[in-house]
Amino acid sequence: MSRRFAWPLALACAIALGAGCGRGGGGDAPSAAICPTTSVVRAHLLDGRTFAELVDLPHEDQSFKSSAAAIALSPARLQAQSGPYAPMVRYLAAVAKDDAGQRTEVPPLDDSVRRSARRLDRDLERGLCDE
Amino acid sequence: MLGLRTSPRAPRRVPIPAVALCVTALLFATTSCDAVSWKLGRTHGAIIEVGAHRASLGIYRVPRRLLFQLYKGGGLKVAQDALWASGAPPVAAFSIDGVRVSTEFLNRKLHGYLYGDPADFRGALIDAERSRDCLALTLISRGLYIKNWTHKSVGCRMGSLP
Repeated sequence: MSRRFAWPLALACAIALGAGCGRGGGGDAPSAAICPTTSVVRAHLLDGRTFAELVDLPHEDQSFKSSAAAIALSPARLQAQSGPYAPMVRYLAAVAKDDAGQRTEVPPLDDSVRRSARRLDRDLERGLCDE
Repeated sequence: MLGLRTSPRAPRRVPIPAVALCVTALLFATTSCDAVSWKLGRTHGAIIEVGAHRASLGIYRVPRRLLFQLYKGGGLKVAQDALWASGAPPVAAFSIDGVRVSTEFLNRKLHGYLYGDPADFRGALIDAERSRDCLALTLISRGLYIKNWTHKSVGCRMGSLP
């Protein structure tokens, strides 16, 4: 390999890998990675509520606690691949971890969390997780 | 003639920093993008009790508490489903007295361990929560394969969820 091409190649390699890595978390495309966990939550824990309603429940509410716990159990995959739902996933997972005794900074319940929860409700309604 | 090389060409070397950058990028890509949730060290640990010739897979206290929360809020099936839905089985390998449990072994067996004996799983989960222990799945005891949901304090730690 010539010296002239080595540096550009290495930089291109780093940029390409970095871009590929970041794509999972920050993208706006609906991500089905969230489906196995949301299926459990929807089937057993939401009690007919939507995710948008869930995030606004008090932390002491059993439905909120259990749903957040289910999401926190698979954080690496969800946070890496949850795309537009990432703010909601991060929020619920952080509350659950904090409740479970792990020192965690809980992000504020802001518009981005509510917006991503509404987006998940909408995408589920449109068949995101339907087989 | 003008422009022709007259001296032998020196061998070209690949710049070391460029190679280092590429290797770093590869390492970054293969570690920080890791999509496996249940990875030994983060949520699970191998609990080896040499005196009893026993080896168990321990689920640390934080995920155990989340499982208990699920059990309390939705029942045992929800805890089982959430654990199963939460990703690939743990990347783990341990052996004692020449009897070995590998990741492949766990991949094949974990579904059965999780759903095969609900009463055993529930009892161990409740006891683990009550004693603030790790939920543990003993797989080797006295040189033999077994399956026993239990709870452990020795070798158990908090474990963090990323």
